[in-house]
Amino acid sequence: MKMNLNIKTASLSGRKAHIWQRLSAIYLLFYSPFLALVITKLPESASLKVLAYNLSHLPYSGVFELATLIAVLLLLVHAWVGVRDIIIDYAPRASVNLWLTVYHSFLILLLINSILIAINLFGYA
Amino acid sequence: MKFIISRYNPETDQAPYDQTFELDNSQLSADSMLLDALHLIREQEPSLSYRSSCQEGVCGSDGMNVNGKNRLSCVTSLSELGDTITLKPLPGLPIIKDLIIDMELFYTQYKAVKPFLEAKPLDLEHEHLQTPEERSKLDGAYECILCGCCSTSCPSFWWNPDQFAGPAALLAARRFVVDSRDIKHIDRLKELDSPTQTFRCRHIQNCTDACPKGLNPSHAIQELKSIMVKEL
Repeated sequence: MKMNLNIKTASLSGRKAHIWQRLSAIYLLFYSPFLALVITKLPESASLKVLAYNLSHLPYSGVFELATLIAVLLLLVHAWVGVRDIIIDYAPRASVNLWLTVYHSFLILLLINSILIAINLFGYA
Repeated sequence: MKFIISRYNPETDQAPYDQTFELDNSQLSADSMLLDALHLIREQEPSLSYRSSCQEGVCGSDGMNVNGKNRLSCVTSLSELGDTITLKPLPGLPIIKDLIIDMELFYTQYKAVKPFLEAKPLDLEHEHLQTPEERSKLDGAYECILCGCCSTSCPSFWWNPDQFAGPAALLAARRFVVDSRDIKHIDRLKELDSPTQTFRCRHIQNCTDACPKGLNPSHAIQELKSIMVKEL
């Protein structure tokens, strides 16, 4: 599948973005307290590496990792729609497509970086 | 009573400026409207320009910004405005002269949503009947008088009046989208599905606050979004 890095306002969706933004918001609304609850139940962790180790050795670690993976993806989707709309509203008309392309590329880099961090912390993606 | 009125004549002025006028309270009665005061001020200053037609809140021609809020001068009572009244033209559209603005963009956006019924070919033997329930869905949308108070209070419309339809046009769009007799329901929804159109509305509700007819364009736009999510 060819990835389109050249984002144009005319090709953006209104309704689909609206649905994804709300779905992701609802998911993160439930995931955030769930994550906080899981972390507070863990023994005290001296570093992020130890915290990751503890999280990956939860009795329900498979469920937790799946929920976290979905949360990261939906967080990126939520951020894309939110900042995309701000760019459409506030960026000078002539440079909207440029800023959208830059922001889209930044989120892709962030996704790749998140995968690398996950591999580093948990030993696998 | 003091009136600070924005003046601008494109033939002689570089930019709008404020001019202060005074009216004696004896010239006004307890039930005087802002438009009555403007008529008296124009006797002092005949070059003062503003629109007014029906003078009873039906034609929507005398929209202006009164103490920071968009209103119709003919249905705004002086008693609710305080002793100092600041009048400016409706914001966001070009000024033609003083309190008169150029509403070309506003009407262009209104026209773009096709604010007319696209029904089946007219059968002269039968009316386009609706049930009372179907008819009641149009309440709160058909009463719009196109004064422009809502659209010119909307930041999304200020920033992109050539892209964003604005609350008045979207209220009209919703009126025809929910009309049971309209056969272009889905086409209308598709045309409005864009991040620069319906989904540019952030529901800050300036439009609802400004509407002199008590309509709720923000809610109508929310309904449009819900219909799109369910039906497209």
